[in-house]
Amino acid sequence: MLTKHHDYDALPTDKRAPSIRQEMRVVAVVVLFIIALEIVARIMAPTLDYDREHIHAFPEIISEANKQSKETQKPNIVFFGNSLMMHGLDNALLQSKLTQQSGPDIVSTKITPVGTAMLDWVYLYKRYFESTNQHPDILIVGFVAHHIHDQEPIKLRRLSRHFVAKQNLPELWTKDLGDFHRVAQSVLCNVSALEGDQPEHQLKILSGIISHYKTGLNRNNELVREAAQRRAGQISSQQINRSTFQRMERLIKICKKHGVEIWFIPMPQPETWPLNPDAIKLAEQHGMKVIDAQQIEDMNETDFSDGYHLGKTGTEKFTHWIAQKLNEQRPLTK
Amino acid sequence: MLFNSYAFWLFLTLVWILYRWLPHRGQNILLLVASYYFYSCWDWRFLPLILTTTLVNYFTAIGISKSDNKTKHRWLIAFSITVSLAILAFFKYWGFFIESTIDFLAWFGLQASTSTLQIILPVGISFYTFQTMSYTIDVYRGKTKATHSLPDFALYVAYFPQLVAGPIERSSSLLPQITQPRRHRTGDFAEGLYLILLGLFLKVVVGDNLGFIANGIFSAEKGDITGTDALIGIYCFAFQIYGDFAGYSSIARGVSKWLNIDLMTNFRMPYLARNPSDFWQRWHISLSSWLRDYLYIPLGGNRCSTFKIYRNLMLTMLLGGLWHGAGWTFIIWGGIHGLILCLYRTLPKNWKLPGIWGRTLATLWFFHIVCLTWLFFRADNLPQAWDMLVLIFTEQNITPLSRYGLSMLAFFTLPLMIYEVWLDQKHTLRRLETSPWGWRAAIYCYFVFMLILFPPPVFGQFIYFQF
Repeated sequence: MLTKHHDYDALPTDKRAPSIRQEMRVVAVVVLFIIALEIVARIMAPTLDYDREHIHAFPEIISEANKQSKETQKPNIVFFGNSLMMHGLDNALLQSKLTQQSGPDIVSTKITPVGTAMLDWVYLYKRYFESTNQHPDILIVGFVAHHIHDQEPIKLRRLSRHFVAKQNLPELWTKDLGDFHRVAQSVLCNVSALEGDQPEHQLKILSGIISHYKTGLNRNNELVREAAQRRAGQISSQQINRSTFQRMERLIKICKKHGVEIWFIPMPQPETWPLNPDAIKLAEQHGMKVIDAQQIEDMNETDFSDGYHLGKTGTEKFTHWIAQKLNEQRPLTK
Repeated sequence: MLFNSYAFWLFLTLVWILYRWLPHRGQNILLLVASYYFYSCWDWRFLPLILTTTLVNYFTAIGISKSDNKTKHRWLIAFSITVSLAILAFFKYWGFFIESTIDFLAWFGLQASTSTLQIILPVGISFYTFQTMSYTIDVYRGKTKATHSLPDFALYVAYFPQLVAGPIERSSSLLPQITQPRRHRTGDFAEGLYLILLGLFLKVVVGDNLGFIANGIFSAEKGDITGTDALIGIYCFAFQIYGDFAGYSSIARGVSKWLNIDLMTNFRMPYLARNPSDFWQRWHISLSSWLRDYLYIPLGGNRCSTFKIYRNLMLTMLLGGLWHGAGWTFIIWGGIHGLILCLYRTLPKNWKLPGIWGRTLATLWFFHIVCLTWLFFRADNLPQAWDMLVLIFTEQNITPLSRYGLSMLAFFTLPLMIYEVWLDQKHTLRRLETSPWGWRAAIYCYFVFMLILFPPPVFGQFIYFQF
């Protein structure tokens, strides 16, 4: 009776069907294939793109700066953030400006993985600074409005792979991820380079074989985003005001515990943007500084390379401004 | 709990381990509890609905089987169908009915306003309603014996692999497999593995990736896209809906194989169909055969006057369209397919293009017709469908978006289509399983490679849950 209702595309039951033993060979080949892919992914990981190169250099950059600071007794200043700070600050220029202005002697480094926000920064700090006990004296964090309020992880795979240490995974699950799917994904990405760096592998393959991949993808993203915005309505300033800053507070508390001073720098943009007063209040409550870089003298739209990041002239102006601020805030304590 | 979520695979692992240890009755109870848990993961508040449908149909069937009175049978079946359809109509079509009435009155200048209820559509309601109706109708027709075991019948209605998006099983196939002890079959593991991997590939790689492009194009405002973009959007949607739905069915069947229960094949390379009749024997087979057996044939089927045959075809397809969703776009989609079937019927019987080139031409021609009908299925409303149709025929202009879309289509669907042509040559879905194991390993490696490296940008729900 049962075989009668076996679907009409089925094999003659039990006769030509592959045995479990044979199928285990198939499974074994697939498992070996996945292991091979993982090995390749691990070999490729440090050179996958500029961002990965930078991330893989964190331990070396941080340890070198710490060593230099200890040897020379100069304050160790880390410029922290994402591509805004990466493009905005020229480290060599900063040193020469400080020398010109007879400013303070400092050891300065940049930790600026692209496309990151407060959640990434909390875990990045814990993994690379706190767990190795190599704290800077001052952490200068560059951001715009959408980088500091509590929000969903922008890139969960990279966060889990590169910023969250194994011992911090439980904190990520309980405080930042609500559902089982993302918890499982964070574990997979943490242990596997193939999973953690998947978006970069995908990008490399597709942009290698499809000539207009990035242009088309950006246009498609734009259409999806515009539709989502039409549905939800533009984020009003009221909504921004309702934002919470628990992750920002976590970063502040970690730094405060280790005697690290944070300077929050609202970064320049072609147009001024609303800085949430709650964020300012929170930083100041904990004795941290908020130094607004939105109104740098002589800075205008032409100082931006793409309407978002600072271009060459913008970088010079911002770096000059930072040098001035470092000068004004003296003495910088070691 | 989606098939493409980690939670589902954890759930299945736990169920499977317990299942192996239990005797037959225990297995059924376990599957029933697991099925209700699975359903409540969407919204536990809809559990009473599925229980009501189960109880009404269970007692109706028992009532029919215990009586020889034909009049009583008719009353019982009428009661059961009325309750099932009333639940479906209320939850699925109430809002559409009210809105359409208001729009209709507005045409005549009559202003009507009413506070419409915001009714949430219970997931899978169309599937389990049709499945239970088929059981009661079969008992009424004397084709199936009523089951006296309520847990077995409840499991037939709520069996989790196919509960929320089919296949719509028949009592003659699924119920005996539930009531009789399962036996271990050699091929079940291999077949299940194949169906699950294929299903995940179809859903995650093909459906969701192309769905992302289709969503972008279909959400564009008028003037933001060209006719070529619109055309690419339609092709992407064609493979999105195929990947999504055939993927779900395939995973459902694979999971069920691992529980030693067979579910029916729901898709058989539908885009290789050469004519409309062929298409409906390949696309959503469980629904099209349901409509044939419980609507088209009772209306008279082919055994009546030519006018009535066309009427039957149109009615069946219009209702098929309406089954998919409460909206005019779905009804028009069904109507167009009805018209295509009617037109095809006017051709001489067994008429076909000769030779391999003729078959290829027919396949390509019919694929494009099907794609064009998807425009109405996917569009948010009729004006959008019309605007895109006009755009396609008046403004062909290749843009970076259309180049990207076309390349992505080729990247994700060409290997799939080559594989399906290879299967179709032997008229079987099982060709890979009877091939040397090395071939299977190679193709599974490709599936896994694509699943790991090309997941969609957005985690995707299954489209057919909304039906």
